[in-house]
Amino acid sequence: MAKKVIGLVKLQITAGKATPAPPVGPALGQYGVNIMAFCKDYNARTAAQAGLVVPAEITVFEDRSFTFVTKSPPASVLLKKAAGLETASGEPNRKKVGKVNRAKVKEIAEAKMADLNAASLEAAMRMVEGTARSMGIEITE
Amino acid sequence: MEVDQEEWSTPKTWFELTVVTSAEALEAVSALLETLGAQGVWIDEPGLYQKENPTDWDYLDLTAPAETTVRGYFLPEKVDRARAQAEDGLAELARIPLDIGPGRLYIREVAEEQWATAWKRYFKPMKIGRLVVIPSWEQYPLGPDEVPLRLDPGMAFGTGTHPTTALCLLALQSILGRAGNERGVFLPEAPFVIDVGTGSGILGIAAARLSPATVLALDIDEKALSVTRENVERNDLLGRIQMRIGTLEPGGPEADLIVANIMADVILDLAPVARGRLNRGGVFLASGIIIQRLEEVKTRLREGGWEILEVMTQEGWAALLAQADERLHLPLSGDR
Repeated sequence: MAKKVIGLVKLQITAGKATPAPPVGPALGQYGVNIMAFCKDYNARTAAQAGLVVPAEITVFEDRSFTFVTKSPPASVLLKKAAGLETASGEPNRKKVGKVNRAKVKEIAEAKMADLNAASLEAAMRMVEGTARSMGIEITE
Repeated sequence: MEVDQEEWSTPKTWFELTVVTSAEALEAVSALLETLGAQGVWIDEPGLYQKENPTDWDYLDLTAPAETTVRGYFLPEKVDRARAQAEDGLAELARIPLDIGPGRLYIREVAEEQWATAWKRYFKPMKIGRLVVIPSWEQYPLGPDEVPLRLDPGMAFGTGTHPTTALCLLALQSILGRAGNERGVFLPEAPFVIDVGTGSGILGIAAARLSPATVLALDIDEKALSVTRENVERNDLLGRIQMRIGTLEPGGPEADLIVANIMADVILDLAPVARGRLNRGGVFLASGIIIQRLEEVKTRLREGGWEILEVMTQEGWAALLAQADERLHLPLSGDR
């Protein structure tokens, strides 16, 4: 059927653990989407990556039916792995919880280059560095 | 993880912290809000509104936002600290230097709502001619002449709320059984129906509810077909509706009725194959045609050997009923 789109929503949530709580509820609820159906399907599709953040891009059609695709995990997931962290710092500006060197930042930037939509490798590295700082990860030379 | 909507509950209030930022700082800001305690984020960015695949959608009824926003949700006792730390975090990002865009922050209170079930308010029993589309959670006392379609909306198109679906449901009522005879359409009492692009299965289910039809429901999307199966089971029609992944191909059993509620280009592609797959006197019900393309579709169908029996329109959409024009002896497609 001719599919007229009334909503596009990108959610960055934990694989295998989607619930109707925010951000899923308010983001999809406004479009009248069957939230339980989304959670069930997202959790089933991402079960193998449970615990990782796996973004989902949801398309809502005029009759409130929907479809979604999952994307590769964000740079923060790769940074956590590189720094050997379970969780990020609760106070990223004051409390540093891990270190990643610049070579690793470059490696992550290269791996995520297409997703980051960066104009250059330098720009992608800045984005990864920013993500690291947001998590309380220190960049070393 | 199984989500139990009965057990799931939200606190009284959430606070939505929105950061207006740039594409460059999107990942960093998302990570920042998650680090500060948001259980995931909701992102809106201009890039989301670009089609990745040509088949992603047909019409976009949205305007791409000018700015990139990231929203995280916090409990009341945590929001002030999260806001202060987010402000510090943004300043830190700007020092990298990372283009943080406008870097504005907003806080909005979001009242508790049972999101797990709130969406159901959009779906009420809906009467389309004699057919009544009834969601599984609704009680509906059927009238003597009413025919129920038990359907839950989900990950497949076809809830009955769209004009293209409604037009098909009305058309089915006008051609199946006695009603069809009165209109000069003579389908067998128990016709064989092929529903191409079945989605939720609503049209195949309707055909099987309105007559003792047997139905072949086709969809190229495996996910949609699993929803079809749920709906077919819900209507106790597994014995009469067969489901298959794929589209209409040349060859195979001939049908008395082929239904395709898809879109203009797909209808035009399917038409020659449909002509070869219909019995003599069989009918093609084509819908999903945006009104601006109607004349073109009619002309091309006539050129392809179809006689247009009827055109139905509603809210900018059209459906049409066609039969192979017996006066023309055009070669049929496929193996016929």
